[in-house]
Amino acid sequence: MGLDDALLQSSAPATLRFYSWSPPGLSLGFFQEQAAFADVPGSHQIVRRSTGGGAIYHQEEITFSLSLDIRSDSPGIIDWYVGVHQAVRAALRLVDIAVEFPDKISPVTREDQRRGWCFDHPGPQDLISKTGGKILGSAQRRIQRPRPRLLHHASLIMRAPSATPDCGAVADYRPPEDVREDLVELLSHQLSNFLGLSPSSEGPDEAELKTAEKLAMKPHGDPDHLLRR
Amino acid sequence: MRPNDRKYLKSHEWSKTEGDTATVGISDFAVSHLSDLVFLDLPAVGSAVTAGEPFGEIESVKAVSDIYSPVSGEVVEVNDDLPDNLDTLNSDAFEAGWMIKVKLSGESGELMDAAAYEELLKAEAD
Repeated sequence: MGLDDALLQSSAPATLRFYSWSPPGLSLGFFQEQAAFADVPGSHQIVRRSTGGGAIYHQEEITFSLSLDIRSDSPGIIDWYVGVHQAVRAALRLVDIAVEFPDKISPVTREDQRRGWCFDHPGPQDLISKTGGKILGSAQRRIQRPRPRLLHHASLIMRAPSATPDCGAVADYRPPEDVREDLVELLSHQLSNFLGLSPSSEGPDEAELKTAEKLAMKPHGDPDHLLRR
Repeated sequence: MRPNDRKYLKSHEWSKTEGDTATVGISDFAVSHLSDLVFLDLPAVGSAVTAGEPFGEIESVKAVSDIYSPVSGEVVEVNDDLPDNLDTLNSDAFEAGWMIKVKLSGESGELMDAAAYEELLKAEAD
């Protein structure tokens, strides 16, 4: 989380970062109540994201973050979600996994958002697997200073975790280990197309790593930050 | 035309100064741009805010955004009802939707009047 927040503050025009979780992680949306997830079974680390939305149990998934400048011609918030999710859908189709936007959605209450799982409440821009479960979780943070930037978090579920067994997953279609590597490459390609960028493969620079270390200590390493709600 | 009795930041916050106190909020443009507001965090009375730095956070259905302070000083009053009544921001962002009152010690050098803010919104729409 520290590195993602550092990338949000970075001077790099755009960064797409893929990562995984070991041990499993439980990430809360920025405004969520920690106490609502205190008794979730399993051996996991818990963290509060700077992005919004519902909680996610990160186990077998492809996690990515996109950090980039918001330009005057950048899509609005909803169009942004549609664009990212269309790119993910296109990548999945290339490995013969057909997911769709939902036909109908159920209303979400403020309480659901404060104490609920991300995958329990598909919205109109979400991707649904053939089992009817949401397969991709997304959330954003936007800043205006020092210049307009956004951080987009996404979790593509490879195999449904025990905490949210009803979510969709790549495993509904194919063994995740058969497609994981291809999917990372295809997602990179499709997301770059959506952004109109040509990706180059490199790690974080020194300034980003330094900022990440600082942010990993505070706020992310500070128990008060996790317990703030 | 937005109210011309206050000044605006390009990140869409406003401040209205009366005596040594500034009332601070976000514009109707910000509210409509964020859409479907869900949560709002405001600072406590007695805390310090700094011009150009975040003083709060707001979550719409799809994004968390920082709210930046147009002024520096001490928070002397907070609109405590607002986080539980976010519709107020949709109906009246410039009056009932105020967020904090600040005892002024300074203000951002980037503040613009209503006419300049309207120009900024036009440019963003083009």
